[in-house]
Amino acid sequence: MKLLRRARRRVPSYGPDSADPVLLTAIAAGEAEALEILHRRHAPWLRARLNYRCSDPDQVDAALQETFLAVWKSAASFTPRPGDTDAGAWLWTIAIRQLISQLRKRANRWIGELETEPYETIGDASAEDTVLLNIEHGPLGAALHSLSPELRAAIQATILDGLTVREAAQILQIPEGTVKTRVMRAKARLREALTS
Amino acid sequence: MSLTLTGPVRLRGVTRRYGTRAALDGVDLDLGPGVTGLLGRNGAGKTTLMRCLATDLDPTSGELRLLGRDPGRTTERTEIRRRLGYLPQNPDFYPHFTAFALLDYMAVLKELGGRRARHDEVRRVLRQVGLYDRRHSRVRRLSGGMRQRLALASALMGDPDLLLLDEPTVGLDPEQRIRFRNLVSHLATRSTVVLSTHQIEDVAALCGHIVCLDGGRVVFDGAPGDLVDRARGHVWEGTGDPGIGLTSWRLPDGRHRVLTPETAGAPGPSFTAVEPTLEDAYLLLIGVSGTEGR
Amino acid sequence: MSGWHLTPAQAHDYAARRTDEITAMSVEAHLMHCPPCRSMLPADEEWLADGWASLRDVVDRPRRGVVETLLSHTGLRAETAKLLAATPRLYQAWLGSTVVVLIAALAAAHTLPRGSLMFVFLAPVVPLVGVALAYGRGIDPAHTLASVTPMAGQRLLFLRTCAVLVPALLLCTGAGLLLPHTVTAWDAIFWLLPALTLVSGSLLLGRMMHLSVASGVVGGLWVLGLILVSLSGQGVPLGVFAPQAQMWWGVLLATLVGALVFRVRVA
Repeated sequence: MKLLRRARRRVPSYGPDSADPVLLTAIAAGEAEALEILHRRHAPWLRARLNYRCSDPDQVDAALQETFLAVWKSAASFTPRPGDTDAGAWLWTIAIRQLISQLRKRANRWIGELETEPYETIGDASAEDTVLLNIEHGPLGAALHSLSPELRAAIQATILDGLTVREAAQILQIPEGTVKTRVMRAKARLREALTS
Repeated sequence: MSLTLTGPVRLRGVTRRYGTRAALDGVDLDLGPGVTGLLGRNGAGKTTLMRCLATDLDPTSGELRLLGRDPGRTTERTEIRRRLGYLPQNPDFYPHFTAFALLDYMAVLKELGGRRARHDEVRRVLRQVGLYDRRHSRVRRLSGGMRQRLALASALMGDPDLLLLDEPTVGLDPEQRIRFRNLVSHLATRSTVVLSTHQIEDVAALCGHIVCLDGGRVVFDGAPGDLVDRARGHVWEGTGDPGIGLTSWRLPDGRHRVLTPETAGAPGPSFTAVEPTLEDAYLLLIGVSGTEGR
Repeated sequence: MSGWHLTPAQAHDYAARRTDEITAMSVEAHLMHCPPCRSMLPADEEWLADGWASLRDVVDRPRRGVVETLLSHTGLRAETAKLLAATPRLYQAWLGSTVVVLIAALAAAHTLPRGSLMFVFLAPVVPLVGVALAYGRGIDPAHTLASVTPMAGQRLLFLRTCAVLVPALLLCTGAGLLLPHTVTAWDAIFWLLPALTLVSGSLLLGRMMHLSVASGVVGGLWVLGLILVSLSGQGVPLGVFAPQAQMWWGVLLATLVGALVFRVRVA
């Protein structure tokens, strides 16, 4: 029944230059070619970025495969903010979660599937935080350098990758409480460095 | 007659009877790589011959070898079928299947690989016949020409060594016909293609070898040039009454084109001999009797 | 953002995992919101094509019908399920009408005196009719295409016969169990051996003629036999299902199946 509904949905006209939301509407209508365009556009950078999170290329490939399959299944749930023509942030949240689930599968095969939460684009709340990481601000590099690797990893997982504290704890393999304190300490240090 | 056993298709004295009527009557043929055009009027035995070549029909008598094997034996027949592509006349399908599902089903019947390889092959042939965009359409929603191309796609699956096409261009528009010709001439570099048709233009464009059947017998077996040579001196154009009993038709400029099978002389004082086309030669060969307007 | 973008060298280094951790964090923060810089990352065409091929394998395939899905859940090979599910419309009509006819027979058995006779003489013929409508030129629209494939002939015929026998035997057994006089399981399947014998007879005969014609001949013989028995005997030929007769049916069935196997092996 679901398949039938998918087939009946109106297919927008799209091409290799269409914006992500148009492609996602087409994907939701069952257009495999639209997924191919989206894959071609986003897979390379997602792969590069995941490569910094996991050194096993097979796991990265598997996570990416699952990412685009999740896109195929849940393209309809993508709701762009008005005027936003880019699904990059949304795709990243799916990709990093798929990687975590891949790593968990590898680590504990007996633990079942991740309880699936709906994929939400990293919200505006973190926009202020991501400013902390803008490369163009001169002093930032130095500030990041001054952080210990542990604090940097905590910042990366929560602010940059948009993970929840729980997910960050999973990928960093530390308790959730530790993630929270490290993030707080790191943010404080960065603010200090940038405002001084 | 040579004793070589090679050659993809070899027939010796092949006869197929329906009751007392012989649809094929002592046919001797050797077909090799490239495209062979099979010509003849309706009921000449073309489709019977095609079905024999397709292992769909056993000859009543005579010797038939396909790809070096005997289709009369079960195991050898299966081996032939693995390397055979057949587009039957008036192909029919399950109308409720999608194009993709139908070819997938055919691919299973053709024992083509695992699922992934099979689907890739289905996509490949769908692209070849220009139906890829319609792969998820149900067969009943496809036009006649599309169904014809779908059947062609089915025949092309698995890169057959022997490709049998019975009236393949029926229902195709001129553009698709050109595509079809390109496709077949490309395939013919490796495989043996037999093209049974009424479309002389397709034969002229594609075939390096022509076999013409009449009444279940082979009446011509050779190169198109040889067939045309036979017609030289029998084709005329001019004004006036072409006479009775000759095949002729009116040209757009008001003159007549006349075929004179028997006499080599001009049908009238105003007529001059012209270079025959393959169609002229074919009409002369099978002795079509017709006058104005064909 | 502020007009700052990655240089091609930076993009290249980042993609090649040569960027240090801190720069990488900054690059990533920028990439998240800058599609043009993302597209500067070098794409490995072969990797992309491979990735897409395995994705396409999942997202772009023919939808499986209900029957095919159910069949493959029973542990059959996916290919076998596909072949079994692809049946001519006539076969589907047969399946539908079998259900209707069996319901009518049951209704008759429960309401009319001696109404169960309808079932008695119907059940052995149900599979035979199914076989007649499952395979062959003129019956199966795709027959001309399918008949010259390596799977055609005995293998496809065997599959189609299974596609007939399994539902037919299940339906008839089910109906048999619901008959008013059914006490033991044997009462429900008295028709089984005759039914199988008729099917094997038509398959054997089908090697010489069109299967539908063969089934017609066998069905005709069955009816003729019943008439002859009833004319010579006491009216209703229930004797053909008696225990002694069942033994003869068994012998006949074994002979026919043996002949079938022999013919298939030899050919």
